[in-house]
Amino acid sequence: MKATKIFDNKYQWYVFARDPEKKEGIIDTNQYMIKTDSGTMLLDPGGIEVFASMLTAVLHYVNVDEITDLFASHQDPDIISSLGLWEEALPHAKLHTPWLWEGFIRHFGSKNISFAPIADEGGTVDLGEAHLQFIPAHYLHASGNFHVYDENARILFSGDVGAALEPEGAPMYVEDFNEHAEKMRLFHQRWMPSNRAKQDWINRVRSLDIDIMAPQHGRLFKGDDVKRFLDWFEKLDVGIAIA
Amino acid sequence: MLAKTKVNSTESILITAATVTAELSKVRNIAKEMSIAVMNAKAISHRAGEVALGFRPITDFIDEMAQDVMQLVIKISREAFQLSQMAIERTHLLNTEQQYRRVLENAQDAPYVDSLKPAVERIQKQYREYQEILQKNIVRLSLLLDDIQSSTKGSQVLSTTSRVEASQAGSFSSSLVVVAENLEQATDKIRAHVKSSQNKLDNVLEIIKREKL
Ligand SMILES: [Fe+2]
Ligand SMILES: [Fe+2]
Repeated sequence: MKATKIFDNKYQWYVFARDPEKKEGIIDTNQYMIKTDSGTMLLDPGGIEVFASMLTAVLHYVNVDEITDLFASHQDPDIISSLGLWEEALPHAKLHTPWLWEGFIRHFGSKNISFAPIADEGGTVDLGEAHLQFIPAHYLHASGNFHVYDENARILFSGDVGAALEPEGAPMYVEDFNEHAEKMRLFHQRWMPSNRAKQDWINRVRSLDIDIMAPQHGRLFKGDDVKRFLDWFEKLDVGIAIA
Repeated sequence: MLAKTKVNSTESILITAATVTAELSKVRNIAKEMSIAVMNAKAISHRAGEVALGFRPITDFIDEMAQDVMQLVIKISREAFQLSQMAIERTHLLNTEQQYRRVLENAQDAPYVDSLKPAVERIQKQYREYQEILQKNIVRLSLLLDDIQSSTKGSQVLSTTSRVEASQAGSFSSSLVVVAENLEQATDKIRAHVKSSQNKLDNVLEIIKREKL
């Protein structure tokens, strides 16, 4: 699995993606890690199928017992079905996840992990020097769903928002927004159910200072492409499967 | 290769636990029938009066035995279910250990690879503990099945006595003889189901004993 450092100042953000060992037919995912001097968090650590590659990649940057926190934006298997495998190595770690899904995610593993449910209005958590905010993104697409904003790094981890479906080995960053938009269209129209939820999220996110918007699938958005994404998303009609 | 054998042994445990539960449910049905037949016999011997007096303690005994067997069945079935649960948890440990070992191999050049080793050792230790508990539970299950065998032992002796007593019950004799005969058949069936369960448990115990992580 490919690792890319996307922020480095007192602490680091990494993205792990484009796993060459991934089996065919399984959606490609981006896993993130925030490493600080006093704690490390994995964001949407991924499915069972990518677990071994992901852990292998992580061990290039951090001791496994330094992983103190996990974050699961929502309950999907591509987000957190690996929990039962992670928790055997992380007996003292905490999982931050929407309160709505705790009982569901426990089906993936609840032997060692302790749950830190996030209330609907969001919250904050300090991880060493990193002050992280859980930004509500309900119904985008899961009915309980959060993104993670790091004001200092100016990174918004945006879960399934900004996701694109594209061939294997795609670059990590969006290069030509208009061309990329076509690879995002169906995903957002079909997986995102609510225009109202979409607009609420856009209003919230416009007030944040963002250098990188980092989704769980596809490519990351840098600089002006973040604004381009918000404009594009605002115009897009979602929830199209309703006949 | 080795891992595959272990997963198969989990399968054997699950199948054995399910089979034992199925056998026990047959045992329970037989015991239930026995206790109904005994209620009948009680009514008959009551009507028969003096001549069937000797039959009454026998019906009380059979009734008690049937109740004992039914209670044991409930207890053993519960334990068999726990055995399945434990086998599944052990499979999870096996899968995790396999994944971690894959990581240890693939991450040989990773600077922090050694930090995973304590976790692997922890899992292996847990696996061995599970292995022991599983074996103990299977032995305990087999001993509980022995309890069914011992509680039915008396009825084998009794069926002879009850036949003698039944034959002396005058005009009610033929109905009571049927009860006595049924008792013998039912007991034989119960013992056969229990024995077959015990054989299956012995087999699975051997499979587990042969495995090593
Ligand atoms: Fe999702
Ligand atoms: Fe996803």
